[in-house]
Amino acid sequence: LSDQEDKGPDENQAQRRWHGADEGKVGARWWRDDVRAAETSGVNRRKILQGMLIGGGVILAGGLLATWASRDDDTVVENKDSLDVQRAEGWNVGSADQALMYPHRERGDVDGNLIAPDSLKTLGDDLSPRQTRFKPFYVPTLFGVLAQNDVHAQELRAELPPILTPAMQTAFARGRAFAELFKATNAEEKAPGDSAGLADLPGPEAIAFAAGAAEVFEPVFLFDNWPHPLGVVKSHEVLAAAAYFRPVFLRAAEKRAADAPAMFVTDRTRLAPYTDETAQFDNRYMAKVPGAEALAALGVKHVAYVTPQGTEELDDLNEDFVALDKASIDVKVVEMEDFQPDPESTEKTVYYYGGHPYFIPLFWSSYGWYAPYRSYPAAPGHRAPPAGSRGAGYRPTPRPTVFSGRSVGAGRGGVGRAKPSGFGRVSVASSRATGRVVGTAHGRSGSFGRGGSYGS
Amino acid sequence: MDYSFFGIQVVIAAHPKDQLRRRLHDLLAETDHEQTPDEKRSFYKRFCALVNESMPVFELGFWDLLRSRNAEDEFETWCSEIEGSMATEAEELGTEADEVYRLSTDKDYIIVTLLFLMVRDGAADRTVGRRADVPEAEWNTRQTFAQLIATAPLLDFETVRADAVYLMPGNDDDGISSDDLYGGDYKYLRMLS
Repeated sequence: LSDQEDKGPDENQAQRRWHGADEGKVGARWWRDDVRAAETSGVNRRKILQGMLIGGGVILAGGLLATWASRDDDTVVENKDSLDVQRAEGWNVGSADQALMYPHRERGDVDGNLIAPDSLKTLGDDLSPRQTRFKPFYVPTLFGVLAQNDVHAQELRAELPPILTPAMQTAFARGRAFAELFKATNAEEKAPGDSAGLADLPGPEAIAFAAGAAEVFEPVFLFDNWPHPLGVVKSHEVLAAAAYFRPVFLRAAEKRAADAPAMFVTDRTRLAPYTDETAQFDNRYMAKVPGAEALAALGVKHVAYVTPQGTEELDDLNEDFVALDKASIDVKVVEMEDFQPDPESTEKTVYYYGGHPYFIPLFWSSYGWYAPYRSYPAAPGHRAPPAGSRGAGYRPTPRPTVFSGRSVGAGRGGVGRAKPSGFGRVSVASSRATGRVVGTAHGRSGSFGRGGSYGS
Repeated sequence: MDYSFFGIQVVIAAHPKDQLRRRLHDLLAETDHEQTPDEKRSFYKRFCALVNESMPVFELGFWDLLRSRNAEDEFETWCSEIEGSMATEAEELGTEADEVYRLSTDKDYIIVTLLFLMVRDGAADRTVGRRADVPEAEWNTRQTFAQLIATAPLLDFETVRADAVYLMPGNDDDGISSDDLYGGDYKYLRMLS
């Protein structure tokens, strides 16, 4: 039963002595003969175990924690752009020993197929825009982390599960309902191609919404950060959601019209509160949406800003939207809450604007962007039409934000903007000799640097 | 060389549909005959993250940190008792309750065990000590168990002499019932709050 595997030990490797996994047994025991003895220098000074108790607990005293600022004199503390640090040291810099947590894991993608870790390297390419005119606006940063060749990226790919949350399922159905509004239904009717969408939803839901709308709208993703175990923005969930829906995006790309309108997609949690430098990693970012000139060049006259609920844009978009308004590009809010399943139907996975196909014309009469040719049956008398969409009355107005007055670029709004001070940055300790990062401020209560790999 | 022993065992009320047992099994089944410290850390990171996803349904548990000359014996005792008790042969399974191994055919629980034999005062030993430094009132909380389980990937495996991981039951057909747990052999387990 226990397969003794007494082979000679290789240097630096633990040898498995017992393994019960081949015939229904589940367990493993390893042994190594070359363990490193405890360092004698400093042990007493840093000794934290003060006693023992057998049978359920321990007696401990001390609680000595390494203090990062006084670690040694060979380092210099700097404040650097988070993404730059991650690119140099690995996406999980300073927290390589901490695992990412994924909600609602699935075993396979939307088709039920298992995902080979290496196949994730091409996720960014698979989800990039097909139309050349949209390619300059695609932000491949997030998906690009999966294409890295370092050991940390390899680990990220190996551990990345597809996810499907209930909120994603709803967002997918609402994405389909939104796209349905823009579908041409006969040869005479031309779809309203002068509109663009901007889905500003919590990351996994943004992916799901874009997937639901992908047969009509070409997704252009704007995720501009990398995940991190302590990240303020849980971008690993975006990756996991994208891995789940990848087949949907690929199929939709084949079905979509060659001149399909764009759906810009960003993560609404990108500006999440960052409050504790020692416990969080600041991987926040600003949405890089095309500016008025660029949108006009794309033939866009209307922008549907999709929010979960509420009719105010996030702070980093205020100036962009005001600029669009001044350039006569109409921005209106579309709340996801406006899309509901038919309350009289047993089918609860199909959503409609106002809760029934009867009310689709009301969308266009509310927003005034388009007059569809197709006729719709009159709503039965007992079905009251939905209250008018609040989003249709939205008009961007300037307001002071931490992002105000930071446009340093021209043309493509957002691309040239400067971040507010301290935004998306991390404090690191770098070696004076090599310039390499040897530690980070986050998670410093206990470990300093990459799980003790550096400079201990 | 002196050693410390750290062992933790947790009983999870596993819903049959949540695939937890299967996913843990698959991870264990894939382990290599040889593991470098980095590979070991990676394995424990994945394994412990999966276990801790079920923290809300941790029901019973036991953990022990022993820093004495008995540490090696303690490690061997745990390993041999668990390896000897695991129902692994076809005749040990089945739908009828086995008086020796299982008192009931309800299959509601899985048991995860992690064991480490560490160089005394080595980096791993110090890490465990730091993480286990919780008030006595919190020794048997789900939060503490999750914290201790999450300690495994933090260990410097250069200073770990031996380690072991066990998952019971060993397959989807067998199981552990509440009668098994509360019936006698597992009486050392503590109720978690």
